[in-house]
Amino acid sequence: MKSLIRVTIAGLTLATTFSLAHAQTVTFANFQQVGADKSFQFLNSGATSTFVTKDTITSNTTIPVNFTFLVDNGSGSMNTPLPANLTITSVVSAPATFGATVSQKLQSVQMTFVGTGAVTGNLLTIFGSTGTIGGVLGEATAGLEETNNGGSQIVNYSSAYIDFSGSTQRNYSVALNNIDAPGLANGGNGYLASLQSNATGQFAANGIVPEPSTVFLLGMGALGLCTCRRKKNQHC
Amino acid sequence: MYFKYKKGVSSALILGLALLSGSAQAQAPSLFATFSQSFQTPSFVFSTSGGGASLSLPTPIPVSFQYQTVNGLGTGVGESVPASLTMSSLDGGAAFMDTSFLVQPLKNIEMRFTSLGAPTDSGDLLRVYLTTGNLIARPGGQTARLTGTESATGNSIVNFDSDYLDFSQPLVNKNFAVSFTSVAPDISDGGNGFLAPFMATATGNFGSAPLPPPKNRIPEPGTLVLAVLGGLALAHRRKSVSP
Repeated sequence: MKSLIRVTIAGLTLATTFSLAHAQTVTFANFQQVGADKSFQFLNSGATSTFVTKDTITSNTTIPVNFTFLVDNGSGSMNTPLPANLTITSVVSAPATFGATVSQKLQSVQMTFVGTGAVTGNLLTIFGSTGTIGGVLGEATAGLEETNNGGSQIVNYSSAYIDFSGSTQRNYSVALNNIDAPGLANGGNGYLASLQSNATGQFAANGIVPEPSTVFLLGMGALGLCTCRRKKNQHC
Repeated sequence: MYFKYKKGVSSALILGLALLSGSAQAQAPSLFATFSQSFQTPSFVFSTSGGGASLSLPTPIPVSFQYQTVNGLGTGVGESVPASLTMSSLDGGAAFMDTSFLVQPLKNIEMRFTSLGAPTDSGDLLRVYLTTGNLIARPGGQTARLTGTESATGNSIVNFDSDYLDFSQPLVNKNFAVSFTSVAPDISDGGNGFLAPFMATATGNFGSAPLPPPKNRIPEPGTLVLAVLGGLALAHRRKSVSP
């Protein structure tokens, strides 16, 4: 029993040291759109404008993507594109700022990736208290991004496969392109003009570990080892 | 009668060509390729030296590349192709603050995606060359974007080339966007006219109007037969309608 406690303490110390040593964020997942429908849309309706996913033909608000975990996630799917459904919802928080670039502030940004293949369930859910769509006016490209600063900008993640409870820094960036002419523009009512676009994106955090079941399996392994050693000593 | 028949076929062919030409002139750009890094290592480096700055990959990195259109490689739309990416660029002038963004102009941006997978295990999936582009980020943030657009309103010259897509036809609204996360240290003004150095990971996407067709595409015999039969049917119909 003493051995088990020692092993557990050693494991926990290692995990803690690892987490603290990796204060810098790592990009743990990314996604690529499947097909070329311009499903990433900013819909200008003044103060109730939204940025959402919406299929231009079917009006479905859930669209197919390939989602990839870039870290061990307990599902054995690291670096393997997984089919998933993505839903994005958000609303504007204030009128946009215009210069050579445009900055359109959003709030309540939620992105949900649900696995539709061998790996199912909540691959990743992002909740951002804020977000910003921005880019150079007139260009066919833009981006949606946010960095958690622990204050006015909160980015939270949840997943059935990754435990984010030890994470203190989180950021995401979505690249939008193929915005129709005239490109990124002033909507004339203080907000960004409506747009339809394609997208890829990625997500980063520090202090991430595979979700608890993996830790549980590691614990079981340690227990097994201790039992083996104990039995061996008894034979001696 | 021979001339009437010939005239009918010609009309059908002209109609078909006009339709094709019409679609080629569509201005709305479409997505033809995307990529994402295969590993989480921050590999993209923005650095300053010798009075200049650059955003580059010091060594080639593995990426997952996807054609979002029919291509000459033989892979399906949205199918992941392992590839190697190289990138280089130079600064295009001093960084400046605009709205909430720090904008770092770049020039001579080159990206090259080389296939590492079956069936060819070689060849460039995509080569991208931009005369100018913009690296855009918010001070204090851990994200950034590299973008460029060649259009009536965008200022870049964007050139695409590939061993598997045919970019020889005129394209409009060529554009690309690369997003960066895990930017470290946080985005800031370097105090020397450029952004402060950082490292990051990336994903990106590429588009144009119209979509580039597959390279070395030869119409299947069945397609040719159907086209000829269609022409004949139109001619025959016209013949029977005319007095």
